[in-house]
Amino acid sequence: MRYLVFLVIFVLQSCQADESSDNVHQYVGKEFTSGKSMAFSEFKGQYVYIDFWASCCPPCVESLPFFEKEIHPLEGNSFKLVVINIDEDKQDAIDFLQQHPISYLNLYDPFGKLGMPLGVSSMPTGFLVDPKGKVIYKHIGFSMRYGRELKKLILEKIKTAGK
Amino acid sequence: MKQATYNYRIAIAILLLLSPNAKSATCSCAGVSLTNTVNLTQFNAEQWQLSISFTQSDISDLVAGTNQINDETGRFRETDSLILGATYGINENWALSAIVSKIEHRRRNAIANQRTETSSGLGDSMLLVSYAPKKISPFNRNEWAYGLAVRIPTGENDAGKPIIFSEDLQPGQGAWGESLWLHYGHAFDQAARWQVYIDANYQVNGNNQRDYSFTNEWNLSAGVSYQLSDSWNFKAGVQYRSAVPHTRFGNNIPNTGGQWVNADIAIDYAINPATHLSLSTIQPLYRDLIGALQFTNKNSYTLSLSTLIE
Repeated sequence: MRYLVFLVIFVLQSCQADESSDNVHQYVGKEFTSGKSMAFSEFKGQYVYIDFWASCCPPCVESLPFFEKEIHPLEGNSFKLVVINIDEDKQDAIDFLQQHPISYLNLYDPFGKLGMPLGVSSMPTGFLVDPKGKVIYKHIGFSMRYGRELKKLILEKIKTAGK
Repeated sequence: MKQATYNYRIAIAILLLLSPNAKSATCSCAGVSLTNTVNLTQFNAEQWQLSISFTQSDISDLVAGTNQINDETGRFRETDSLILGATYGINENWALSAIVSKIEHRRRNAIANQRTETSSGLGDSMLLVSYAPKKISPFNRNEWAYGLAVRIPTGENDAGKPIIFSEDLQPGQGAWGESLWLHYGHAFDQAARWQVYIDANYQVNGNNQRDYSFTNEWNLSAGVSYQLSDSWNFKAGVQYRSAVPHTRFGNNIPNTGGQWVNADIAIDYAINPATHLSLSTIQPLYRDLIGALQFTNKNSYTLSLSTLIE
């Protein structure tokens, strides 16, 4: 009898579990500074690297400057870089950006409207999205070695898109 | 002074009645708990987590009811266990885990002789299915999880051979068992530096070939953890355990069963984001044991290493 109860709990809870989305283009985000809405459908036809970050995330101290120096210059017709801050207290993120300024697109998602459907559970988490909006690569954490591998991957995709 | 001498003689007399080969003189320390290595929420989708842990338990305390008896006979009981665990995240919510163990029990009954007797070999194994519908994340402060495990009697024992040791000194229980797990955790901030947890576990054990059963027990634990720095994490909690007496042929075995309250303290070091080294200890705070005299846990220490493999 106890196993039946357990199975019922399993089934009921599994019906409530969050599901990851299949297509990123359906989402709308808000720009960090202006609060202006921005639809991910604007990136149709481009590869997009989306990186979720937070001011309390130590690897983000490395990742954001790396993106500024190594990934942001790759942006163009075939590729777009988007980072998304999730700090509940926006001032924490503002203070962080004053010490580590960035010039690429930064969105704000404190309630997880973008992060939760994508299954973000740790900081930083990065996704590479193909021109059709499908997530083709996910990585949790950051290291300089990963950064170099990411740059290599993005260059390959840009080259493929250019053909 | 005279009263103290009288009580001391009674205690010695009780100890003298306990022959080394008396099968009834078991304890509810019940060998090795495989449950300490289980974590219901720390897994990622399509990733393996491997762990190895070594536990040394000193089970030399003699307790009658709530009273600890001062044993000056030089006897001791110890258990070393090596536990290997593997967890695979089927997806973000479901995981499968397998645990195998190697056990060594040592005892010395100083009344009989000074020789240390050893029983060692493969211990029992466990298969666990866990479901974590919610995990603590930057967007979620609460988590809960359920687990259902089966204990597989892969352990060695002397069933079918000349019986040397009682059941609680065998590497394996020799019987199937099952466990039900529940877990709840809460983070106090987005960075999840401070967390509290509550865990509950109910175990049922079957009969072995000699119709002996370690029967049923409840385990409840609650505690807090704090992220001291990027690499260091500290955890402190209290465990409560309630076990009914063991049985043979359905009859209670004397001097088994009872209630325990222990302190559970751990320090964890992240060698890198995927690999953690942990040192923990369980220290008894309170015991109320059934029967005239039982060996029970004096202290135990565990060193474990775990790593995530992408």
